[in-house]
Amino acid sequence: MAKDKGLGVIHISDEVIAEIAGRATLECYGVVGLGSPGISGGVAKLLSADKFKKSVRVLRENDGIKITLYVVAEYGTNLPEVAHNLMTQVKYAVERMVDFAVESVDVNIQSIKVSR
Amino acid sequence: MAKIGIVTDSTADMPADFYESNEIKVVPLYVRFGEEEIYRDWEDIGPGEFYARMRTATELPKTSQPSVEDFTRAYEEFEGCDGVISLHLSGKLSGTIQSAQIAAENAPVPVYVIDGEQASAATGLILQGLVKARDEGQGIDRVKQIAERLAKETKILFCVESLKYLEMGGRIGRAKYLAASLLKIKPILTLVDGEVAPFKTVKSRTKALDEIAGFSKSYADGRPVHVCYAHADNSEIIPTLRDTLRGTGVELASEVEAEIGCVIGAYIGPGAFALVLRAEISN
Amino acid sequence: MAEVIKPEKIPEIIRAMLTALKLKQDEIDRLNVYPVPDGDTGTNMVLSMESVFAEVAKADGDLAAIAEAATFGSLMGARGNSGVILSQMIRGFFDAVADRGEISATGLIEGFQRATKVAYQAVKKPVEGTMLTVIKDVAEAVSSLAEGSVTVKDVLEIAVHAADESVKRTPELLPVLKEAGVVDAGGYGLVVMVKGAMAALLGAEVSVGGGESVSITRSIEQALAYTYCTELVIKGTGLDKESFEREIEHLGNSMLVVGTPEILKVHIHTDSPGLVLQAATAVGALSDVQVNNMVEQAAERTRLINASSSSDGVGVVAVATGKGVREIFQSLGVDSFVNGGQSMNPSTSEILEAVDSAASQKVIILPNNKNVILAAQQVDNLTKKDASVIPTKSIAEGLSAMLGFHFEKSLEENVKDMAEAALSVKTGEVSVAVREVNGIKKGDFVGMSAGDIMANGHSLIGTTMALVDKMVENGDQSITILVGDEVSDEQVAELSLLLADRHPELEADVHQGDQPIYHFIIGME
Repeated sequence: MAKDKGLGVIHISDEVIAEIAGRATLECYGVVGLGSPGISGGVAKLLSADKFKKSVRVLRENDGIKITLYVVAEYGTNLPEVAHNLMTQVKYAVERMVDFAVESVDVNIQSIKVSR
Repeated sequence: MAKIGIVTDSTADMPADFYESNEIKVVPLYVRFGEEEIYRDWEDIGPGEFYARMRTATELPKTSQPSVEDFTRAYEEFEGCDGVISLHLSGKLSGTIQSAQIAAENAPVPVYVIDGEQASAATGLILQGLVKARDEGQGIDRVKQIAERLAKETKILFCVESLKYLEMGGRIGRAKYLAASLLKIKPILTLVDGEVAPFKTVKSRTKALDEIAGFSKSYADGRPVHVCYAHADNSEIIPTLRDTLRGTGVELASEVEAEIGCVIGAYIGPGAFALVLRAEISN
Repeated sequence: MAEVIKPEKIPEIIRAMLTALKLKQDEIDRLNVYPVPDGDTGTNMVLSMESVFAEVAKADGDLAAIAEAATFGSLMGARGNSGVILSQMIRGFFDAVADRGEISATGLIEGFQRATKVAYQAVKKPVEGTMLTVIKDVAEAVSSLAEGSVTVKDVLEIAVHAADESVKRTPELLPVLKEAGVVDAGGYGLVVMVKGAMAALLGAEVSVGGGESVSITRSIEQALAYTYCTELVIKGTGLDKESFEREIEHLGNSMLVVGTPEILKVHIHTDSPGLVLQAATAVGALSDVQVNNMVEQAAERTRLINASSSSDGVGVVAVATGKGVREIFQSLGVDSFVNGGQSMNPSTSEILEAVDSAASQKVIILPNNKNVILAAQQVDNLTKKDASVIPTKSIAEGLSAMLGFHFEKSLEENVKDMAEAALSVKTGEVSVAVREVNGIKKGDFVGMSAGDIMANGHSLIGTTMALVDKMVENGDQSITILVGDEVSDEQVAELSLLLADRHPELEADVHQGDQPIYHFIIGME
């Protein structure tokens, strides 16, 4: 990913963006874990070094970034609202840190966790 | 008994005989000094004693809205009527209207609770017009409509000696920034959408009265106007205020004087005065 | 006083909580900086609670039915992040009390405990310094009462206190709040709600206090541990994230280093951005370096919060010198200043700079000196903003103009009102003659008003009183005096006494202005 800021071209890798988006995701209220595409009914993933690799997809398109998230949400929360909050918060976190426009954030709620 | 009942709360600050002769039921708010002393506004305590204590008290008096039961009892008195108009102090300044609304839901008669978005004698002047509509024999829906229009038409301007009571009481609303002033100022305030808002800020009483006169003329715009001169422990101002209004050439349909009661007084503080204007509404 | 809460009382309590929120809605909105500073926390909380109230008002009878209605209402009506958190708290609270018939003190305590548990379980990484912290602190505080014979009122009292204390600590826990000089919006909303519930229980008027501004932390400079927010990107090969973190962590706080061995994004709050950059150049190539002064940012934000929620308000730039003079202008709503005054006229470009750096798009300029008016009037042609000049010829006129200022009004209305207000005051100024003119000796005091010499003499106070005597006209009621930096306290006291004696009709308003040149600036009306 490259952007000319007048001082030269800056490269920011998709991994950096994924990590920022991933951190914001885990702090988002209503999100209790990460999921992976293809694994539905999935279990919350343990946090590992490449923790965000499967759950956060970053795609560069035209002049913006498209982010796709796979998450586990808490049972009994208002899911559309949680998804909406997640989109806003991830978009804000990424744009604030890397100064790239985020074109879209797609949220896939892979499963619902029931806490007791 | 009239077919339409009228209920208000004690903050309308009209004299007792006005309520009596017009069969208006008044539900009192409460005034508290400290934790123990609780009085019913206008019933157990009047402005005279209240302001005297306020000037010396170390802790500011507090006020409480009437309970739901207070309103329930008031509405029960009108069982058998076509309906009750319950007109109250701005919901942005007090929770009174909430108690009224809850009580209204279970009342034995249909009760129309109206937020006058006003305070003190401004509510009083709305009541004045409301009584007239009722006594003309209008139906309940029409009276309710008139009350709402009167509420919109009524304007109050008030001057306080100090903004500290409004600020400490959490009622300063949109005039909050004025409280920051290091200069001694005489703010003229009004109510906008039921909330305290600044009207003009001046440095002397003469200027304040000039501004009030100027506003009155533009408000009247040739129409006859009902006015009320009101004061909080500051009766000396009334003749001056009256002369100011009479000097504007505005046609005065009626003039009344009022004393600002304990509840509103607790927020504007002693020494304040107010002018209320209400033009006659066309049908 | 209430021993228990009967089910039929609950709608009233929820209504009071909603009312309390509505009273503080705008303020809560303005506090909103986390997670996204979109200024809607208050609105979201109000909307969420409205849904709760609507459902509860419809429910009949017993506590179980009310609990179900509250939970349903909060789930369906949850708006925004704060709304979703709130719905979990409500679910937890009513879970704990639903089967009890009525809410006792013990029930209330367990309600707070369960609300905390359920609120925390719905997020993977709970962020402290938010609503979550406030409910947790409340639950902890009331837990200590569990064994005693307490009433629900006692429990709520402790809860109110704990919530109040907790929200004040939120800037310590969440740096982004400290940077902005605010407490957490949602946490503050929770305080407001608990106070509303307390008021309903006591049958008291819903009021959540106005005087004390718990919500905005005062001294920003003290609150911020570090001055500069430093951000940069390092490019290289084999970059070691952990070792670089160790390298810079002692330089500040709020450190965040993310990335890969090829590229690292670094964020840290520090007083030594230079050292951070040095450390970074040692390991790789730098790009995208940004160093922002957070003290200025926070001051700006606080000013905005204090001034107005709307960004389209009108700002004011005043030409003024003297610490006290500026403080008075500031207290009346002036945003920024340009140095200047008699014998030190600012240039058009200096005024332009102040106008351009003001937060508002619409700016009013107070030149406060007749020699500055022309320079000020050039600014509108040079700036992209909408700038208007009120041609004030003195500090006294400038202050009077500010009495006509109202940030909620349009630029046009303000220009009209302020120009009118400026004209209502007469100005007097007392200074020292710098050379011999018209028979006045160099070093004598001179009192001027409206461009004319009205009084002169050896004595400062004598000259000042003579000036006042000449200025007073019938109907004047107030005199404002700004004291210059060379005047002693004794002289001020003497002047005040003489004024009270000779002009009891004038209400005197005397302030330390600290202005140079003019020993006294007088405004009279």
